[in-house]
Amino acid sequence: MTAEITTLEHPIDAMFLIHKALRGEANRTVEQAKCLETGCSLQPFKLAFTAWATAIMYHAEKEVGAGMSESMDRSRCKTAHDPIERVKWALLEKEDEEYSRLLEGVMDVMTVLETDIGATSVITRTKQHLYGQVLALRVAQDDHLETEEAMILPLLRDNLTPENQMKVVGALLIDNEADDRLWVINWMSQDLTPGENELLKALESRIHQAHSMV
Amino acid sequence: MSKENFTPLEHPIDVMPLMHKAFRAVTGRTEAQAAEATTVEDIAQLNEAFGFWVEQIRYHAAVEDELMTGPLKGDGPVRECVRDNEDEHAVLAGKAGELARFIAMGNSAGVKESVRAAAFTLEEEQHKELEDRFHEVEDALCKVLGDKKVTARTIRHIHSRVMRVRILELDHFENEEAFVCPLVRDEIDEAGQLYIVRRLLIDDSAKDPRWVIDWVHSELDEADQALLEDLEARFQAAVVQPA
Repeated sequence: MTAEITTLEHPIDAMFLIHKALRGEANRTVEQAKCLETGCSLQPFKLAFTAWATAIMYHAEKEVGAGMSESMDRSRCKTAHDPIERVKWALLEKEDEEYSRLLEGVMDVMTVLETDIGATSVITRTKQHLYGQVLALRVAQDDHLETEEAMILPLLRDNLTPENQMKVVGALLIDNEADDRLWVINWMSQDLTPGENELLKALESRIHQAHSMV
Repeated sequence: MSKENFTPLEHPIDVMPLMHKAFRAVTGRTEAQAAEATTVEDIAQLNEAFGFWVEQIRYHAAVEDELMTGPLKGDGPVRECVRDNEDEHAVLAGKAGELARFIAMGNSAGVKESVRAAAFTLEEEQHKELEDRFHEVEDALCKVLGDKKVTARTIRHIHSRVMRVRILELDHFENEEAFVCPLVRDEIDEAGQLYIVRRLLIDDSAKDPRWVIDWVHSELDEADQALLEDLEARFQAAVVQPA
């Protein structure tokens, strides 16, 4: 989704902002791979890729760790008669595996970086291999985010309480284990419009508020 | 280019990098086309461009396997080099075929592929039920995503697949130029090389025997075109020469 996000009706809608940042990071990395020239330094590509890989890994770890499906009323899954609803539940069950596949894509790029290169400058073959792998990773990410937005998020909106949505979003946006707990929010802000950054700030306050009330 | 500055190809097999240049031009264009594609019509155009490339690479690989590396099958490193080259042809042709079939699957090919990649296994592992399940997920996804996103997904899968084929092609050509062409120069005499390159460039079994050479010519710059024209004159002369 590249259109401006103007409202976060449900806390879980913050996911759209995170996805926007992930897509921005992917595009920058693919562009860096495309622009690699024979003999030039790999440093800019490595920086872009590291930022993207870090974001994917953190997002995957927190989403999987959030155990969203466990916080939901599973009986509704069994009573879902509409085929689309049934597929949504089935896809939710597949979320962890989907992230494993994305992480495999990250590892594939790292393998090219380690085995094809070794040194710090680029040859034509390396350039092509890197470009091919980051393109494949972007495709996997795009598919995943698109499916999540179309199928999983509506399910979470309907089946997770606002408090639980806030918990999930809080874990995704605030890294309590890092020295800089706000690094995710700061990282995201570069790809968001001023209006979207306002929405994010407001959500951050709500997360802190909710946290202080616990 | 003036005649005084013209230096013909030393060995007939040196035409290979020119042919590879033509292939690279087509895959480069196809990849750029895939990167820019947005509509179902764009997919149809890609299908056409890629179909032509597949036809060319199949003919090229078949002639090479039969006439160029076939006679080189010696022992040790030569044998290994030849086998690698033929294996690369097989992989390239396989991936190209997969891509052609993927494009032919139409608009929802991307959704189909991602659903299968997610491997929706159920308790019942029977094929029919599994297929039904795939279709259920595909239909639901197509319905919720809408035509535009379904097409966009297919296009990005095509782009990634074209890129994979392009990488295989680049690696293969690079290997062939570095390892196989020097062997051909050393092991096969001028007449033999002229016979090989003639068969690579002129397809006697086709309705239009010049479909390869004319295409290669069209992809080259003026200087390379002159080299190709000179080589054609050489192999045509060799053919008419009495034995």
